[in-house]
Amino acid sequence: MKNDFEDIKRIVNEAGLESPSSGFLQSVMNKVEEHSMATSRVKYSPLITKRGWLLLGAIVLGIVVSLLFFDGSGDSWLSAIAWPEFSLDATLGSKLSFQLYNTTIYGLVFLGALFAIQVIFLNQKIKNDFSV
Amino acid sequence: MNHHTDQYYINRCLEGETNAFSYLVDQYKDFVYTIILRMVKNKEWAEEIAQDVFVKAYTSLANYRGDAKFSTWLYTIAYRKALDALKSVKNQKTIDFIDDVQEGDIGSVTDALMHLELEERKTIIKNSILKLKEDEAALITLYYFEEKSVKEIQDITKISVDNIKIKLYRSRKKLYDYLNGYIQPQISKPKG
Repeated sequence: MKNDFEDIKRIVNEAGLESPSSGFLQSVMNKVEEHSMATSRVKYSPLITKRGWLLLGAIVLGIVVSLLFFDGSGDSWLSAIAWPEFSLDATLGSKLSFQLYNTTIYGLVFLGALFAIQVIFLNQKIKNDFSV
Repeated sequence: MNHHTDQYYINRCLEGETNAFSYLVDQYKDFVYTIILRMVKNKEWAEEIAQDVFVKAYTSLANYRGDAKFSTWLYTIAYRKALDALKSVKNQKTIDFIDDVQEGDIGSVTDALMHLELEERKTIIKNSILKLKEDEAALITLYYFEEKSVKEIQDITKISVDNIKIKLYRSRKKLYDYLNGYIQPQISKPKG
């Protein structure tokens, strides 16, 4: 039985190999290069998108336009709000003392809030960018 | 095939020299293409799949541990890609043999083949292999052309050793059946 198929090897070898088209190697290497570049390069994405810029522009424009309706006389609507009063007096030793005014305190509070919000967004962005 | 030579180029690829991969592509493209073509039976499709095989091999190069020959590892990817591609095609049929060749007829098939012109003979043999089922065509090619051992073929195809032997036996017989189907009209064709 084995002898009956002895020349099958010769027959299969005679068929030889097929060759792909002449551009096969180049096509493969192009795809390999693309993959290699894609994995090594960080994809650029803007921090503020086009839509974000449009929104910012609209807000600024809105503020500028709204200013046209204020003639500058009289009390501002901000003064109508009952802002809580803060005072912070400190004396460091006998010679140094400082006082923090409301404006400074409000500024610090809002800066802290802005920082806290940014930390949340940055944390999420880092998680998304570097997650496996 | 020099295993160490392959490893040299693999190491260079892993160090970031993408161009080194072109050596490996050039070395193995014909066999990868042939085995896929014999499984999917379509040249354009086979070329597309073969390209995907090499890209997959490149992206997975870090996973090649060197336990087996690089060719075995590469052909495993090729075999699986071809099978996956075939699974996506619902109506894939293989034409069955025309006549059943008896044991005593095998000698006459091969004798008849020898009387044909070389190119005609090659074409007939190629077409006959193409008629085999995808796994049979792959086994015949791996065993008789690439001279892979049954154990290596088992690693590539995940078919058991016993099954491989059975399939090889059946596919040899089928191949003769198909060859006979081509040969008989040639023999009975009037000459001159």
